[in-house]
Amino acid sequence: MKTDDHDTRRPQPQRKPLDPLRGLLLGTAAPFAGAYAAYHAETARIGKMTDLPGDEFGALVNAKDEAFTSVVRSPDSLCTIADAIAAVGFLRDYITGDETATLVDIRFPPAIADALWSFLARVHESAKATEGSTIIPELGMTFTEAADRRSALYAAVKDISDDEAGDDEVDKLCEEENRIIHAIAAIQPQTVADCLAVLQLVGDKDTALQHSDVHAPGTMAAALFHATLSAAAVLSSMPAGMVGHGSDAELVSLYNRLIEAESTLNSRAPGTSDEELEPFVAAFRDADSAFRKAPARSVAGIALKLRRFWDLCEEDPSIAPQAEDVIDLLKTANEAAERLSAMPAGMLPAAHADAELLDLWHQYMDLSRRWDAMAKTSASDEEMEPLGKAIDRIDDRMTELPALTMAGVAVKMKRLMIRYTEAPWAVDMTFGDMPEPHTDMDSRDWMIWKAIQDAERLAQQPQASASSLTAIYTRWREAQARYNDPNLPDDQDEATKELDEIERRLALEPVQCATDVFVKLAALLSELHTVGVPVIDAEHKEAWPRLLPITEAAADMLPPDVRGPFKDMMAGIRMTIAAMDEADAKGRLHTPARSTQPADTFADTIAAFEAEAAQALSLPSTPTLAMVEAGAAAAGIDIEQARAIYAAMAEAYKKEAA
Amino acid sequence: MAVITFPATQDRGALRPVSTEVSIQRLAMSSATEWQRQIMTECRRQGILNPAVFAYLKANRLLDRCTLLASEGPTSPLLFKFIGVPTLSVLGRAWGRSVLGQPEDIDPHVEFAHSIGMQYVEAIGAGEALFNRISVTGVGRPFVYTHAVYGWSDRGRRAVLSCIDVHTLH
Repeated sequence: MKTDDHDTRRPQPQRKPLDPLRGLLLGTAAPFAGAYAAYHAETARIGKMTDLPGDEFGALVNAKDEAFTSVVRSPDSLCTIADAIAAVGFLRDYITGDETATLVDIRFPPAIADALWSFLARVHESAKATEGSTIIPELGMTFTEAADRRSALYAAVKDISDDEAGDDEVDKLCEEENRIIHAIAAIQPQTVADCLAVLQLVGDKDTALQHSDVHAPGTMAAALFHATLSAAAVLSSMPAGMVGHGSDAELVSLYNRLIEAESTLNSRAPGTSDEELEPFVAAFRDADSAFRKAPARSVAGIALKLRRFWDLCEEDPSIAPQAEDVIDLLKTANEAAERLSAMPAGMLPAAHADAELLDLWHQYMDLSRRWDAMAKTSASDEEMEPLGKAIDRIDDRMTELPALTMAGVAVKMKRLMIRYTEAPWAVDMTFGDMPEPHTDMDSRDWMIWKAIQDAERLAQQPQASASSLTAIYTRWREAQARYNDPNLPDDQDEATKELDEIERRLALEPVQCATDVFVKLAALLSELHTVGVPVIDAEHKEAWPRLLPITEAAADMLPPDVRGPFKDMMAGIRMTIAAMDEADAKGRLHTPARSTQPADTFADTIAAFEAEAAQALSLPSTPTLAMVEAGAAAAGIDIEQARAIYAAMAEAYKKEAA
Repeated sequence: MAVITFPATQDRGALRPVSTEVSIQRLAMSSATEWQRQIMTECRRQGILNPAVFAYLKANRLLDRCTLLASEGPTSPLLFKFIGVPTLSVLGRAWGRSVLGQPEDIDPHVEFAHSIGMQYVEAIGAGEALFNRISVTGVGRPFVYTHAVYGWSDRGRRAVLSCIDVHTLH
């Protein structure tokens, strides 16, 4: 990129670096919370100094206010969810007339409400594409929809309130709003998006929270406050890998570095000489190349790559996808997309076993860079202290946390290399900022450096992607096949023992990813299936038809070797239900015959055959989506037309068959 | 080899063939196909007719090759409960729909081969397996098939599983 024309051609970037979601939600930094706690403590301390002369007392009060003001005034004063909760707490104190809070400058509460709003906007921005919102059964809509609906209701109420005629209408709207908020408060949020929707309600400037007592039972404010706390609790209990796609933390950090380098470069005054610009250009080029070439690992990573691509295209509409600047971006994004789509069940990306260690490393990198940047300004030791303490905490945690993978070992060794060499070049090398090993390295440095490289290389090698449950499932299928092998003698003790042992493990192994859920389900279905119809009694029969379409669709996401048997089992359950329907029609299931009467396996089995015959001989009365789509494509009509045609044909067929 | 001739008892129209010839040959189970023998082994292992038999056929994708007949009591006749694909491919799906759940005397014409099977079946006791080679002429196009048959009985109710392998469709 040429440096002499970018000032004129390119507008100053409006965007800010993307916040890593995990940092926002789970980070430990909480400047606002700290400042507010300190303010509280200081107010209490000063309050006791009744014998101080007036001017000294005034100075103390001013100093205290000053300290708090400086934190509140900084544009991103709320850094993490802990801060956001402290801000909600502050607003609550202010509203309920807590004397410390009411002593603050009258401009503070709106400023803090704004900061809260902007924090939530940042979180929302970072998260909205990564996690879906779940449905609140009572409302029949998702958390996000419910939050949006409430905002709409609130706006509607405001509109009508201006017109005095609409009192009844207002009552109705308020009632619905009330219902939504209580429904949200009554249920635990499940995903990040759910939590964000709850926080959106709280962060809304028009929210009831800021005008009422959050402790008055039964009120909307109390419900909202309760919902906020449970959202915060859910967020803080989420496993690291699930929030913010920790596996792309490195890419996010590279992206932030790139945007920083770019805006630093752009902020140089026009007319600065090339020579003066040179270091900034070099920094930008390094950051740019590092980001372009780094692999993406998650959907979030792909999005980041594409966002950069989009920005470049916007900047220069004539840019071609083959241009050097963008080809790496697209290539890495595509590779990631291919990898992700090849993954069985991408719904819940399994967390990296060493997610926390990797995350600690990225936190450390960020802190270390901030430290270096501050050290260049003439920051005092006191100002540097919080950073130093944060790094100490990271070191402690890194030390105590056992590494489970080579990637985790590499993180520990990199930190060790920096600690024991105490050399700036060790920082540059381990951060990947220095392409060639430093010339000052002695034999011990080389040894550990080589070991780091070994660990990182091993970490890159593909691991068996199957979770342990999938492996157990495969063994289980094999054991079943052995058990059923007709060539084996009738003495099946060994095979039975093996099967029992594997089934026990299937039951005990925890679920770690989406595939695991289906493995568990498959095992359960198989068990029901083997035991036969009587297990699914009339009481539970209702649940199966609802469960089946979901699990069958989900089966398509299973690895191919598991898919076939799974689908067979689903078919078995379908057959069982059909047999039960038939049995039901004959009145056999109406008697609670589960344990008191022995099951009539003879009749049940014949019923199973009959049910299958009905299926084999008739077309499905409702076509599958694939059938409708194929029909529509073949005839060149739309899907609804194809559906109507099929319905008519099936009807005629039934008459013909009768 | 016994050759039984079934003369047409009634002439109901030109579409009907004049005569149907069914020849049945009892063979040793060892000359059955592997999958037929496997099903027989599974039936023997289970001993009684239970869902495991059905599950086995289903899981091994063998269900389609079988036909099941069952009676609801000691005096009631065997009814078609399930008809596999080979039979349907020979006799047609429409035929399948018409005889399902019905005893063999529904259609004296296309039912020959099966009534033959059933005559044997009625004769066998629970837990016995047998294997026949059957050739049929005069019902649509001539065809030859083998079936491995297994029978159960439970408090007077009977059931028969016939595993059919169509050899030639002339």
